[in-house]
Amino acid sequence: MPGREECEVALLTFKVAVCAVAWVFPLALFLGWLLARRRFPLRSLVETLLLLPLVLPPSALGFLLLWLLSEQSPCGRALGALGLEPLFTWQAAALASGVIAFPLMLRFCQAGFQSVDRRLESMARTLGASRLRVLGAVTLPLARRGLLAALVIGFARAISEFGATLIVAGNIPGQTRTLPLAIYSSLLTGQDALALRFAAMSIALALLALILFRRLEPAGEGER
Amino acid sequence: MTRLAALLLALVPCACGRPEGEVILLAAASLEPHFAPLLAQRSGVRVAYGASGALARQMEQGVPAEVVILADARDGEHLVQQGVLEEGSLVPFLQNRLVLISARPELRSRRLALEDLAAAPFARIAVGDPDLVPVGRYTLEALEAKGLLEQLRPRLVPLQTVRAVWSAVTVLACDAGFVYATDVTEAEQAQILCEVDPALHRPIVFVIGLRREASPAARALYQELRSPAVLARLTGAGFLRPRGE
Repeated sequence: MPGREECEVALLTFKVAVCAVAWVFPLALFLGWLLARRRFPLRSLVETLLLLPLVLPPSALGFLLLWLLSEQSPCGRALGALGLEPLFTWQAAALASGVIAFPLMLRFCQAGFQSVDRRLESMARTLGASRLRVLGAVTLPLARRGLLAALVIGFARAISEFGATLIVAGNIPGQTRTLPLAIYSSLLTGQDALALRFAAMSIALALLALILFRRLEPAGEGER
Repeated sequence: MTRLAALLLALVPCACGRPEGEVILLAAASLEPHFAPLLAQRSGVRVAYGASGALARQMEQGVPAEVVILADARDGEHLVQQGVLEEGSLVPFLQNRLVLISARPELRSRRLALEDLAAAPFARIAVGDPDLVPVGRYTLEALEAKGLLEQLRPRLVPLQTVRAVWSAVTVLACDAGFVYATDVTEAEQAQILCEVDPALHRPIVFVIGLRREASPAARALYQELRSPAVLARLTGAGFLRPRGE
């Protein structure tokens, strides 16, 4: 049976990942649509920059975020003036995992929109639907699988985030110690059995997310 | 393509094994700024720095390190009990002092007493993670002795090494932090607000030890690190000689 500590860690991990996905999804949705549907100058440069967190070492990203949020930077000072000090809180963990999960979510949103037949959209337009109506009644429902896949894969990435989180949120028991950090800490303190339980929980969560993801994958079998 | 594969295969042995006779030294993270120039010219040593609690654990798990320097005698004694270190090889190496530092511009050239900490406008105080990082254990002992621990606990940010505490303070991610006096290498980056009374915590003794059945090269390194020349350089950097030597 999982003890109190394990439940606390699992709950926190879940909270952080849900919040990470929640703040990043609207961005990924909008930018994914933009990249799939619009031509604009420097489009490929923008696309490359947005994918950067996927290949950058998480520690480098963590360092950037640390600088941005600390009082060294204008951004951190502005936040401080508003009474916001996110460093070493679970909110910082959600921010960091969101940034790390963003490129994956963007990719799947983009693919979701690209899979929608544009002729269906123009047909709806000629039948008198407004742009917004087309988006709500045609594009979004047809891109549904890609968008859901983006949510699931983003969540899976967020629950496994380690490097950037450690830097901006620390490893504070009960506050910012998520599953990957709990595995690390229990290993270092010689609690192998606990580490094993945490690892088993991670595997279970990751498998669940992957099974869900396989069923949603836009190119997967099923409707097609 | 086959030629490339052959080349890569040929490189595998070079990438894996360590050079013959190389000694692995594990050292407390606080020694990194001082050891790096010291060991730069010396060949045949590979140093890994980290939190002493983590280093002790790594040795216990079989990391092939032969010489170890830890910032807490307890971690060293644990390794002797586990039969990892050679009995009698574990000796006091250096002593250190605990200081409270800050990089906040408005605190420049201010002095604080430890008691003022509760009232000070510090939202986040960086400390070593007491599970693994000796400087955190000494800090908590001192705060406990002053009766400040329960009050300050919500504001403490445990970090993974003493160097991480230093960084968190200098980049202003934390308002203040507890480090060793020898960590304050660049006075422009952070200033000492308070020197913690050594009577409030166990003596901060760095210990050096040798793995059982260590190689002659490792024994030579162990002796060399304890030589008067090396100790003179380290005491010049602010470390203290252990008492009774």
